[in-house]
Amino acid sequence: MIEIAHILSATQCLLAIGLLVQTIEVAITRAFYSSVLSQKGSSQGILTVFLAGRIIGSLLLLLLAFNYLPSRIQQPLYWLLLLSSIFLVIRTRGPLCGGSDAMFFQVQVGLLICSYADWNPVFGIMGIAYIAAQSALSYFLAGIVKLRNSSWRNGEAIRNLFSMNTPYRIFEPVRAIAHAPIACMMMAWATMLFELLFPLLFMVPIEAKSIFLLAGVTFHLMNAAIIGINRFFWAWIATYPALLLF
Amino acid sequence: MEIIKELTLAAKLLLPSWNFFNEVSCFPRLDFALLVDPSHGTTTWNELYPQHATSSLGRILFNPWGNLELLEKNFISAAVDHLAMLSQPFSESFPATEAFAILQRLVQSKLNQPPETGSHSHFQFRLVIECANEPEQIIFTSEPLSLSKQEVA
Repeated sequence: MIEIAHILSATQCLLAIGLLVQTIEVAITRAFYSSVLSQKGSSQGILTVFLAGRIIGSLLLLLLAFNYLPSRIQQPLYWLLLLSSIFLVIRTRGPLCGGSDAMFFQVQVGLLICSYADWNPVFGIMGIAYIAAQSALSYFLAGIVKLRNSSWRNGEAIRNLFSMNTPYRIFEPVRAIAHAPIACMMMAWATMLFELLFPLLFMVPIEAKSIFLLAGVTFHLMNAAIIGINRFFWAWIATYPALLLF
Repeated sequence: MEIIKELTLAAKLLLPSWNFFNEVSCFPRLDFALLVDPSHGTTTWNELYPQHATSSLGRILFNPWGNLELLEKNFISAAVDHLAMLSQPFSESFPATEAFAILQRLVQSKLNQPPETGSHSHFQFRLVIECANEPEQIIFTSEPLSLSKQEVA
């Protein structure tokens, strides 16, 4: 039986690393926000200070995960990180990287709920359940959306992704798959089946859960390698410890 | 109005749709053309983001510039979505929007990087929709704009 405390620590650790990666990436490219989003002098300074604060907050979360800090800092830290996520989205006129920002936010909300376990222990379970539910729901809904789309069912979606001028910079060695219709269809169906079947993880013993999670890690690493969406990897694996409880 | 827009952005974090890759047949594209004389002359269009691939796997865990490029392209998609809500003619309604201003500054920032733009003083940009197995569709073309950076309106 996995203890809730261990699940919380693992979630905090993975979330902290994910937020650090995201925030440092934004910090490295912050000149964009003044030149294109046109935030003048003092606003750019505020952004720099804000990003530094978010990095410190993420490091504090990492220390919390390893019990180097008292648990009473959880609630103020989670509230600050949540508000900083909202601020970042508003500052950048929208989610930086779409779904990964949303999932980071959901994990933060779940951890915030867990932090009220001192009031009532049920909040501890509720918070982890919230994270687990959002994780499974995200896969299932993404799978449903694809299944309804004929270009996914016939593999054209993969062919278009690898052959057209899309928003993604494709990993060169896989572009040749665009010329193989059967391979495109197999990749499309493998993606859809993984996403649609993911919630079955709640019905299998813990040994089998690890197969689902390993498949998930592989799925997200491949996406990061092929189309460059590395933040999805960090955001979704932060949800995986929660999935082990149910 | 501004506060409503900001609350809407925040709401997308709290209530995500988990709607990924539902559109994989059509993609927007931002083209630019450098002009020596904005009043006449032929216009040669170039893609602001030509089709690129990469052989690097280093981006698997850390990818700041790749994610920045994705963000920039999100603004192009957002501009196309915004155009769909505007009334025609777009030449009058779109230039007054923040989405237009962002695209203008995006192109300016790319064009003002080395190599130098030479004798060109102005540029134009256009939004194009590319769909699989269909001819591309130009949905908006700007008037000639100055290459020099402008203050925010």
